[in-house]
Amino acid sequence: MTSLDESQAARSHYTTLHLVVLFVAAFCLGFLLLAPVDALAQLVSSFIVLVVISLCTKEARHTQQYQYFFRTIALVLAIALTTRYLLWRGIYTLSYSDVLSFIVVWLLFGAEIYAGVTSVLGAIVNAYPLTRPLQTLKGCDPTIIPSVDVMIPTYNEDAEILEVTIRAAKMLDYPEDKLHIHLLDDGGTDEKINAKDPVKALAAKERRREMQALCTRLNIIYHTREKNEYAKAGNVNSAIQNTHGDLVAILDADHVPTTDFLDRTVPWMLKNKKVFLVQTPHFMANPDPVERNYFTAFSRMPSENDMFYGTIQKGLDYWGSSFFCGSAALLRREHLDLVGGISGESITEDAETALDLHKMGYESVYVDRPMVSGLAPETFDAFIQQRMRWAQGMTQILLLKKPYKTQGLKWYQRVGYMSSIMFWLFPFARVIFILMPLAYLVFGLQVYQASLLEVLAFTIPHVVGAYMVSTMLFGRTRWPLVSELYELLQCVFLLNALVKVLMKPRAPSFVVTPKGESLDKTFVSPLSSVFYWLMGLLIIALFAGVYKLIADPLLWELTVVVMLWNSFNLLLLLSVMSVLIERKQVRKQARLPATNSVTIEMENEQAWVGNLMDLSLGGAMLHLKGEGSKVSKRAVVRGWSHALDKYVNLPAEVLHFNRKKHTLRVRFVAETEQQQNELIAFVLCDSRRWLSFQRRRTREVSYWFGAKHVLGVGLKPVYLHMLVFMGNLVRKTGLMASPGKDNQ
Amino acid sequence: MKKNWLVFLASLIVSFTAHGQNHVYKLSDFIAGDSMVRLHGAAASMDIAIPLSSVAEVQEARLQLDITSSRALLENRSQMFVRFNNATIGQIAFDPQRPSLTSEITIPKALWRTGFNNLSLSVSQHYANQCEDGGAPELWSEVNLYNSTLTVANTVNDNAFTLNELSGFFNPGIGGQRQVQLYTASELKPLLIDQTLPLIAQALALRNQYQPLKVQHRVFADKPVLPNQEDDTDWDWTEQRNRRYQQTAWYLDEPSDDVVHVLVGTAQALTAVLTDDEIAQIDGAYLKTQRTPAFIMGDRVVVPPSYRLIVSGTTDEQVQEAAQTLAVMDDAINLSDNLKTLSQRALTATHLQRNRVLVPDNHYTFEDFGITNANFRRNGSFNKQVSFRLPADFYVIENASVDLLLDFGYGAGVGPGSVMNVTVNGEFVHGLALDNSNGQVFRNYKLRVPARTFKGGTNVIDFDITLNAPLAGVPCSIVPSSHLAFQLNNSSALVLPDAGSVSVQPDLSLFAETAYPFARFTAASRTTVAVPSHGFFDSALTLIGKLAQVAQTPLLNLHISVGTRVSEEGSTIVLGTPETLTELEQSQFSTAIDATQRWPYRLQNTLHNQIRSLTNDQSFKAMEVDGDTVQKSDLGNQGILLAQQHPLASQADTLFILAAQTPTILQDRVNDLISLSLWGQLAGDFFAWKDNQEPTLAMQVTRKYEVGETEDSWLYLRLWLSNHPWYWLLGFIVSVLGVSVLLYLLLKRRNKEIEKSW
Repeated sequence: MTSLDESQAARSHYTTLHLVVLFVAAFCLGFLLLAPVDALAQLVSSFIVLVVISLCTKEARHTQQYQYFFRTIALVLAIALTTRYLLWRGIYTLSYSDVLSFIVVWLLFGAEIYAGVTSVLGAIVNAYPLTRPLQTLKGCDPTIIPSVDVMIPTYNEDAEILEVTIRAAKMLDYPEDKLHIHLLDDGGTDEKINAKDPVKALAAKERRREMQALCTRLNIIYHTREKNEYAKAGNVNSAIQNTHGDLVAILDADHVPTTDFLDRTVPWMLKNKKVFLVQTPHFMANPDPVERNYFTAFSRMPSENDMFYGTIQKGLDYWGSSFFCGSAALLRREHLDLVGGISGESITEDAETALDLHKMGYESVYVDRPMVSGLAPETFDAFIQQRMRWAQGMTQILLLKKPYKTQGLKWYQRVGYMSSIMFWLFPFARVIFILMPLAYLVFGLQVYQASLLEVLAFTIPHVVGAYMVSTMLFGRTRWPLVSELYELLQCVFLLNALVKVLMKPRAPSFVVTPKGESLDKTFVSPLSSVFYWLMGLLIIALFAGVYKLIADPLLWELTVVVMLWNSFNLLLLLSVMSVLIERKQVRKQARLPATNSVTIEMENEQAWVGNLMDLSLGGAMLHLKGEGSKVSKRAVVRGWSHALDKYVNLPAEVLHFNRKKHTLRVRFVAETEQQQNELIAFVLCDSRRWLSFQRRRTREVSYWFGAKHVLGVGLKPVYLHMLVFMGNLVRKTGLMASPGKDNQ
Repeated sequence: MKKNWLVFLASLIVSFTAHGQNHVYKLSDFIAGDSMVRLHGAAASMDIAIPLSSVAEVQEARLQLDITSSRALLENRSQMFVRFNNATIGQIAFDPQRPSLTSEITIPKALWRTGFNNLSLSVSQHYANQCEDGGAPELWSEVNLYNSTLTVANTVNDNAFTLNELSGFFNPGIGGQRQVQLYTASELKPLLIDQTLPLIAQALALRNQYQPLKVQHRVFADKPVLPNQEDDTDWDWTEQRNRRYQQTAWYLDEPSDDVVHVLVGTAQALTAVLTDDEIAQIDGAYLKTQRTPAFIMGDRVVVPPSYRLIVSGTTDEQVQEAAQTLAVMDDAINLSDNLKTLSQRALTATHLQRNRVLVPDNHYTFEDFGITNANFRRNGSFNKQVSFRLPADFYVIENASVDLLLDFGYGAGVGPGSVMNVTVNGEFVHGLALDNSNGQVFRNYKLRVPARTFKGGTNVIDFDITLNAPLAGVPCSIVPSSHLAFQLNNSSALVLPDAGSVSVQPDLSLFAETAYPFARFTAASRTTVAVPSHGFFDSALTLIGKLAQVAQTPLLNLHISVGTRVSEEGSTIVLGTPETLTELEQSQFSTAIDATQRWPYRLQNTLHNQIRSLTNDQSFKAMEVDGDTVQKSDLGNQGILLAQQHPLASQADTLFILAAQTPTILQDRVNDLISLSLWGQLAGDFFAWKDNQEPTLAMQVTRKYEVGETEDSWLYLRLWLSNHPWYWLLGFIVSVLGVSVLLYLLLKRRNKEIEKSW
């Protein structure tokens, strides 16, 4: 272990001024690239620039000595191309003949500026992702190890979910006398118990009793408070006042920590007294609605938050602006006290707290190792609810905290925060990009004044360059067009939420994301109707485009370009339709791939060696190496638990044995406390398992594969939606008694 | 006494009786485009405008038409109506048994009008007596305009020769003069050669508009040369006869009684050819038109009467001032026979040249450049052409656009297929179906046309309108089309973008179309036509006249210099023969003409030996020949025109060399060159020809370079970078590398600092 240097002095980043100058120089290169040459010369030079970017991104993706050098060249060129494009658009193409076209032209240009600025900010943030070495407390002087309060705030989560989290927390590899586990119950507050509604009051009382019993049984401390003020932030702050640990670890109710969580994070607190936060990734152990309903590739495709935790947080960490994400993080009490605990002005209290402490000069650390596994929202409804909170919260920070001019923040921290916040304004741009083809195809407004040659010389290189750089930066953690799909899914709802927060920045209130919902039937999301309207509009635009092609052959170049644009949007919408069909979830817990070698001991004392194929708290599938001819109903799965550093015996019930394939499906039936703990430790508390799983799915694919993966959907979802719609209609008109939901 | 009366009468007859001269014109001379005209459909027509000079009086005119008609036409119902100024002068029946025919029609003398006469060829064509498809493909006939001729015998009808008649003599129409002689005293003052004679040549050529004018310089004797008495042994040169002889145009080399010649010089220089009274009238910059009497010796006309224009003054400067007035004046308002210029304002080369073009970054209505409202009625295809001139060095950025704001409308009851198509310089830019059965009116109908569709020089916007009557819906029934109407208003406007003044040189096609670089439109600097000796004057003056015609304005900046020394300032045309051109340093040129010739033969070079027009040539490859043959030979009967970068000029300029084996051949070739048929074919930078039909060779052999207004450095940079994108790209890549290396080092340094803290 490296020595724990307590005399960490404030680092002076004297190079940053030079960096600013050089980033400005990269922008100036954009001006240079917009040199006054004709479109043909621009086309040729753009092509050459793209070839250089392509070569550099290829080199930058290999681990080699000059990897970051090539990465820098690619980024500089991409920034230059984007700058050139925006300048060209602004200087040469914004013309309009009436007020309506003026509005449309500027809306589109505004959306393009937004996209350009976010991509440039993203390029700066992700220029040099920081990869920190693994740290451990082993060998460290026990006297200097700080005490930690692990806080698990809860509101309405099931005891079952909480128990897993608490048991995992109790198994954290940390000196027992310095580890205190707290359950912060906001569902059983005095306010709730004394609610006017007797049903609610009774439920709150029952919940408090249940939680208290759980805490007593698991030997942890139960906290509640008088009033539900400031939601989660208030809950944590209330508990902080009653605890005394040096450090505070916050875990959401469904966030199960691996045993090495504190061992890997606390050393960063010891190394530098100015560190107020050590954040780790949120690893989701189940697919979100998009992954489940559409891609069915949870274990093969990078998840949505892999991009944020696998790339962006590392980039932010380099610039000293990685921020608190609400859970899976370690905070220093001393620093929290300086800002009165977790900030609660916005509904994203996490990022707000980090901003408050960053501006005081304190530092954050991001440890890129998945050490907490949580649950993603199961339904599209819940997913949207969660994203609305994030979007509204980040916009609140923008409006209330104004990070672009906050005193105390370094320029690069401002860039980092603005990059993270501005991302959430995407609904404005996305809606404009969806509807803009209509303006031309249906209403005949000239939204884009450029010849085909100019589109080829300016627009296409900008798009292709941005894509190549995006692939270089995020290729492993985000497949092509996935971002577009997610943005399209969210944009309409988030736009509404954003408009509300823009009008009343302090109005939004914290809404807990529902998790652990059951999906025992396949059904169409109730949020689908807006997408029907959108699809109708795009189809109208498509037909209008065909008519325009026939009726106005002189404008065929522009019409074809806009129709391609519209068709792309339509294809994305078709994919979205598929997401909106909420598919039945067979298992309670999602099974994740596993590769451990295990031994199966049957009741008849026979034993086979095998390998795990997948695993969850509920059960597992194994591949046996022997014949397994005499499989009994009960068995014990014996395997090495890295988390506990010992072999564990997990009693299981055999569900099915496939003699041909030698595969065995079992359900775990932990009966004793120890067995339950061992099962949790084996399944959920091994960070190496998450790491391996994450590495397995974070891989790069070709653009065509990615595009096919996203757009290869056909009309099946439309057909399914129509079936459901007809079913509902039949039900409403009373022609059929049974519900018309499509069961699959 | 009786004899004297007879002489007087004879003199009068000679003076005032015009002799009809037969001139044969091809009808294709009066139209632009294809000389084979095909008339389709049940009813079709074409109009040919035949100009007639105001001083010409047609004595007799015959039209011969070479016609071919479809064999499917019905004999009794198919015919061609020939109308002249709307009067039917002939009806030619189409005979399916005799599809080719030649028809001769006399055009009555009374129908001729000064100005444009409209010859209309209309056909009525049928293949059935009823229920006929008016657009059937077999309904056609064609007129070969190249083989069809117009034979005109005309005389000059002008007796009182006043200044306003100058436009009649120098006129592009029938009866206009195609050659003029400028007479000066033998002592040639520098200003006269340098500016005055070129100005007069331009002034007269401009009146001829597009028709070529050969200009010849002649010198009159210091005192009247009396004619030989021949058989008139009893002839006695009395004082009175001497005086009368002096009043005649005795100095003419080729006396003619129906052409104008010009006397140029100061009053003192003209004393030999003018009477004392006439000299006494010259007391300033002076212009005078004059009819000189005939001189008859016995029964022989020794000197015929003539028309004379006097350009004079008391000083050389006044003569030049008079020439300037001649160059810019509107003849129509000068009804007297003389005028004296007292002062002139805003008469600079730049001013005049700029006035002839539309200025970029401005808004012009069609009315501003003389376009009238267009009204079309009934069914058929109609065309309205809007023509205007842009500066030759009109240079716009790639995505600049010209806005056309059209005011037009059409009446109710249009049928299917009614459309308006708009083309700019032949390039299709917009189409609109006129499909509102209630009619429609548009105001400020905006067409955004890429500015690159427009070019330096003359630009043409064509509005092609087709009006069809609605379908009757009943077989064999046709809806009358008298209600169809379309109107294009001259309040329609043109909004030009900002443009620079940059041109890619050398380019003979641009030279032919706009006289660039001699006409610059922004800052007309001094340009020169250099001749080695006086023997080349005629060629120089003829060429200068043509350049003024092309520029459509007098080029006050164009001078003639005599001698072998080539001006170092401005663009120059050097006229010469291989002997005289030896003095010119041509070692840097890809092509050289002197005692030996250096030819870039086509097989020695590849792509460069093709004509590349500027508009289509966007590759901007460095065009420099790499092979040539040096030989010693005779140029023969041909003329050679070369354009290269001026080797001596301090700024980028173009040097033209116009050469032939001898001065006489050169003059013939210049006369060929200025012909309508050959001048339009000028292209590339190497042009050789031996007649006025077509070039023997036209090539692009030298590297291109830019000529522009240096004060607009941004545009100049744009053009330079467009021509040399590799330099720019290299600079960009180097800058990127530099910035990237520095960024990389700084990012790495920061990373190290962070790592140090671990």
